[in-house]
Amino acid sequence: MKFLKKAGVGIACAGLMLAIHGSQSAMDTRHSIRFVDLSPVFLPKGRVLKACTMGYRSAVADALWMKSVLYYGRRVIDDDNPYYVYAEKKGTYAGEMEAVQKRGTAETADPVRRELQHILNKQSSRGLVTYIYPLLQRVADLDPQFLFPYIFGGVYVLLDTGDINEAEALLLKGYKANPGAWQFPFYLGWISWMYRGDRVSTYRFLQRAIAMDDCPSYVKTLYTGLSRELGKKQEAALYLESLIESTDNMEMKEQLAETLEQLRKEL
Amino acid sequence: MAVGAVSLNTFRETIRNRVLVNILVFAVAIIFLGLAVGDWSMGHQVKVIKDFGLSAMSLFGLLIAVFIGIRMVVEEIEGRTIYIIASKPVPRWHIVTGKFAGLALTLLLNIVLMSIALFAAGFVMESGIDLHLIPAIILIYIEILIIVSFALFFSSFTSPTLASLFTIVIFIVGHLSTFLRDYVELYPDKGLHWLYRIIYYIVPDLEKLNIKMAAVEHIGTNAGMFWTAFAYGICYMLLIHIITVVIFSKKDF
Repeated sequence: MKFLKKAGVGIACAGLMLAIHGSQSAMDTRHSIRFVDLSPVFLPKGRVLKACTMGYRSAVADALWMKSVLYYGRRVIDDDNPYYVYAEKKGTYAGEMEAVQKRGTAETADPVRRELQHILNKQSSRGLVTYIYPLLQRVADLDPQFLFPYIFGGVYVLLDTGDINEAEALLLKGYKANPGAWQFPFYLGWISWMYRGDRVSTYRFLQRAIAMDDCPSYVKTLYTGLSRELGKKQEAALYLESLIESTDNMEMKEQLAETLEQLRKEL
Repeated sequence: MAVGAVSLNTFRETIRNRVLVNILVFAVAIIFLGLAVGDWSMGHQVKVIKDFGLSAMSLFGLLIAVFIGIRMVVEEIEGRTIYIIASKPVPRWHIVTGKFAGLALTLLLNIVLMSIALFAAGFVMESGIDLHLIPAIILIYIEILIIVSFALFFSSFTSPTLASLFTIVIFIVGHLSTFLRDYVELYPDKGLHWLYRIIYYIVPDLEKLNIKMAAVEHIGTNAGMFWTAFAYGICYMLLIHIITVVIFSKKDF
């Protein structure tokens, strides 16, 4: 009798295990890892976040920063993105993108669909990364002195998405919060040059960048090169002179003097 | 039938518990808080209310399952009331199953009350009841039952503190186990993928029972998927319950 009881329990357990495995496998076959992920990111405004995070603002900023990096890495079309590689290997990438395009182009009164259309209209050729700038803006709101998120959005994301206005807005926000960091005028100048073709603006931005204490020498070289190209050598020389006079940083003085000397030879 | 008597007694005992009432009031308050928070969502107020409501149901169901489920057996042993029942000609499995059924009944009552609160909040916003939420609520209930079965399982052989800890870990790992499977698929040559696969099949995949997002956004939950997930949850719960019964039957009081 005892043996029969034990056998009954054993058989019941084995049967249940088989049922669990069977149902789990059945659900797994319907599950597919997708590259295209349009799930929206819901985040309150920066000032609301600031109030909610209380004393843990920088920790939340770090967490959001990591979320931003993961968000971007998960969606950008790149050989380092395992989701993209997986979709390519399985041959599902083209189908997924096509399905999304179809959903986006259908005219609809449904607000969710309309939002999707909006996302698709804004999507870049390098992936569906619409929410990356709002995410980075929140990081900047929470921790304005955290420099890398500005540069990540202003340079790296811009290279992938070409979203000049968003990149510039983020860099300008960073510049306002960190007026002593040479990176902001330097990269703003780079955008003016590369994306807007406005070298005069670049010249002005570089002028501001080289006035910062820790600005590397290549920015100064770039500045003199640009002054040469724009026929502003005289103006550049005067500006460098005034910088040499105004700074107490000996290393910077030396670097500026070197640049000025090279420029004077050409005058 | 002893199972019925034990379960009815457990049900009466648990609904008198003040912890349960506090958790329930707090959960209903959270559901209604969604009405206020929804204002910040820029046109997605109803979605926020539903998301808040379903999450509160799942989270507070988990708390009830862990704190009341574990205390239920431990209190019987510590208060020595188990001797009175064990000395009667009542099979041990009747006691465990009765306890489980009693708590399941209490949780069902909680889920029903929380659902009424959620539907009422939804009704205020969109003048209608969203029936798409019902499958999600049923699967939340099944998920909570799995957690209860784990709570009873752990409390049958370890201390209450460790049992709570282990049950919460099962809940967390159960929701993350899908990542293990995806990791193995995405990086087939990296790490201990065979170990990840074993963990994936041993630990309950609670994400299979999570259709909250699909229910709120009215997408992609077909009947086949729902019933497979339902069967999966019930089988898992029964398996853990049978193991608990076997352990409890061998226990010396």
